[in-house]
Amino acid sequence: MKTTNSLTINTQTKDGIDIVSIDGFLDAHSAPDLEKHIETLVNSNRIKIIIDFSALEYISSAGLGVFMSHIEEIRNKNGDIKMIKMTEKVYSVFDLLGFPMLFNIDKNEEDAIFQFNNNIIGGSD
Amino acid sequence: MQYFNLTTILSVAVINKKFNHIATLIASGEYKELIKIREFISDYAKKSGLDLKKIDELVLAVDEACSNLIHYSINFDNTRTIKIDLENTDDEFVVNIQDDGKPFNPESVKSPNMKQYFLEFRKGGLGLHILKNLTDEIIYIPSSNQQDRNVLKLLKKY
Repeated sequence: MKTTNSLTINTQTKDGIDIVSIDGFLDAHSAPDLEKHIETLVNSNRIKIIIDFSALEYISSAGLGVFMSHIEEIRNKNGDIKMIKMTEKVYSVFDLLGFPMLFNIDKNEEDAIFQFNNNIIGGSD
Repeated sequence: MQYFNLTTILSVAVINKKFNHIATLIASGEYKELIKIREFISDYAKKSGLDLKKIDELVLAVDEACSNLIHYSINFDNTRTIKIDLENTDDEFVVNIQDDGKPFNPESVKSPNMKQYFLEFRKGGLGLHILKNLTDEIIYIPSSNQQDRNVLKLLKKY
């Protein structure tokens, strides 16, 4: 577990998939912590990643940038970042910028795991 | 024909509205101040009667503006400050952000084409796009001989 002033990051590994739960506020101050966390996963070739947003209260563009930093490399290695359980408030920020074009944003873990198992990559649009 | 420069035109626009002062916050030029700034905006916007969805939008717009200022204008110098005055007009809640860094008009930046953005896996440059999308009006007045701070006013209709 890793805690900063405003963001807590927890990772659980299940059948080769890393589920990263983020709790709190993802802004310009806390974004580098999540970025390092994902970088560590990618560097150890853990490239099937699900981000659980259920406890995330707030996101700004610096938070969105974290996912843009790694997605190209992860997809080139046949992995993906999938996102689950966003609150309406957090989803509205992703939606405002069209992020559902690039990412799978799912209701729950089962949907995201199904997509990994069936090699479904990319957004819904 | 008489010519006006951009600053003059914007100043005239400012004068045409009456801004009532509500509260002031001074924050230092570092990212850890963002939480404090967001709480300040949210508390007073609530008291002022802005609805919750609009508060969320305005808080995000101010966060993006201040993150940009801290990075590009103040350059992470925590001895410098951002002054935030909350104001209202008859029909708008207003966040007036002042800094003494390099002048930078957010309106001068073009919003990216998001389809292209994703195709090229770009990163960054989205803050100002959010800022423009989530406010009803932006007034920018760069520092000059008459005033020593850059002024950025974000207006949100009630």
